[in-house]
Amino acid sequence: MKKEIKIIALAPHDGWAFVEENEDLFLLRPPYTVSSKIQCTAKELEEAVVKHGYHSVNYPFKNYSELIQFIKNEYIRAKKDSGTTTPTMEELKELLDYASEDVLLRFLEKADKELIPEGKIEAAESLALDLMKLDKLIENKKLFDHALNIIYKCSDLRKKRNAWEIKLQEKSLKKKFINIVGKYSVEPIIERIRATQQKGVLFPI
Amino acid sequence: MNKISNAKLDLFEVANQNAKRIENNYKEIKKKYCVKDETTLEEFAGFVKKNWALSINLKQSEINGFLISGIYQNMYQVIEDDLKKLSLERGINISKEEVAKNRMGIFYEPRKIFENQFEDGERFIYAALNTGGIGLKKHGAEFCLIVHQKEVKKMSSCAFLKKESTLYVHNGSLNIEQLKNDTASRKTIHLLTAIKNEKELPDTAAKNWPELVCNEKNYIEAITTDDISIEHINTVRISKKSEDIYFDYLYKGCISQLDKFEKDYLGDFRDMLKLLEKNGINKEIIDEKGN
Repeated sequence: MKKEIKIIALAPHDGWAFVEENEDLFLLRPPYTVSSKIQCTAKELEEAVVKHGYHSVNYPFKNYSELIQFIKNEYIRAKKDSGTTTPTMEELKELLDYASEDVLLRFLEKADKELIPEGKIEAAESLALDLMKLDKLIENKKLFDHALNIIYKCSDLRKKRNAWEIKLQEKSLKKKFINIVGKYSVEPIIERIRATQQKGVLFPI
Repeated sequence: MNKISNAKLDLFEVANQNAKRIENNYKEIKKKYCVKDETTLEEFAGFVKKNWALSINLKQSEINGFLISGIYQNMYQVIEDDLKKLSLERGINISKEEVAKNRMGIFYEPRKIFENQFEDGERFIYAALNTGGIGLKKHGAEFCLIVHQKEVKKMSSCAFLKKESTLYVHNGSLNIEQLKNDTASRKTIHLLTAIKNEKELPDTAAKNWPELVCNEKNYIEAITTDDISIEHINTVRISKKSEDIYFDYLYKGCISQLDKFEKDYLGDFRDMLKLLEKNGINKEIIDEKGN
């Protein structure tokens, strides 16, 4: 049976919508994942329309991807109509000041256990540095040390990564510049090549 | 004009007049209870009497609007404002009823039937009785404003209904007799709450009483025609689960890129927190898992 989905009530200023899928009724909210799709009743739909200003509508869609994009576009349009400007990331980072220690710990743990193992060293380091500026971290030694530990880990990993890159480059250099590699160590050769690259002179690697 | 107004019921007077009946009902229930349960019933009524407050759950856009304007508006007031804007900015004139009908669709009629029975029905502001917890956070109304008891006691009007108001509308008419039996004032609300929950009480631990009083499926509705302004609010409750959603976006933004939708969405949350701080309103995070 072909799936029939439609939005039957929409809160354009909030990005929330009631969706009818075949006979079932769901409430869908950002971030629009499976867990943000909640089964609900007709009575709840009524309350939402009456008490919370959801607009009663009837918009059919072929699939959830199109439906979600529509909700997002309506939200962006509503924000634009109300004259709201999109905040910059720096402005949004002000939210870190409002984060509880539990939230900050969660961020640090994700950096430690997800970002670093995935090799996203720059992201982990940048997050730890952002958090270390916060009063909450300065006042909480455990959290501060956690962030500092991430910075050290990232630094160590970067050194290892650089060493590994040098090893790789050594192999490549030996092929390209047989005479020089025998005469000098690899690091000054790489430095010279980098300087040459920056000046835009011929023959970078 | 006065004739029409007089034909309508004064909900708050109905609530005052029902006091004796509620007190008698409560006494009857007490008689039925065994000694142990009677203590529980009295303790519960005492708990409600001490802790009751009103809660109004709002969506993000609603709470931001409230924090900016300083006055809570019901649906008709919001529509009136929208219409004034439409008329001024675009020269479009539409009636309030027309817009209300369009927005509420098939749900317009039962609401009108209820409100038409009462004086100032269109001015009704709906809230829920709350003795703790995050109120009726369904339909995206995840931010729970708490109007403390001492503020409610200063108001000129407040009535409580045993169940949600439109449930008294059946087949196009309002069941006035049932509604009269189910209405309480501020003085008897603790007794009405005990009456309503008498069956569940013996099996409900005291720590779960707030959830028993106000949950998604069952709650006591509060109605006032008084203005609810920012000065009435000193706490906003948010579930940890909801807060995590916003902070997950922030985490994403700190480690990679957010798209325009995500930035706007997170921006609304930031604006709210700043406005709460500016107005000296506490933010309470409630972990529903009890962690």
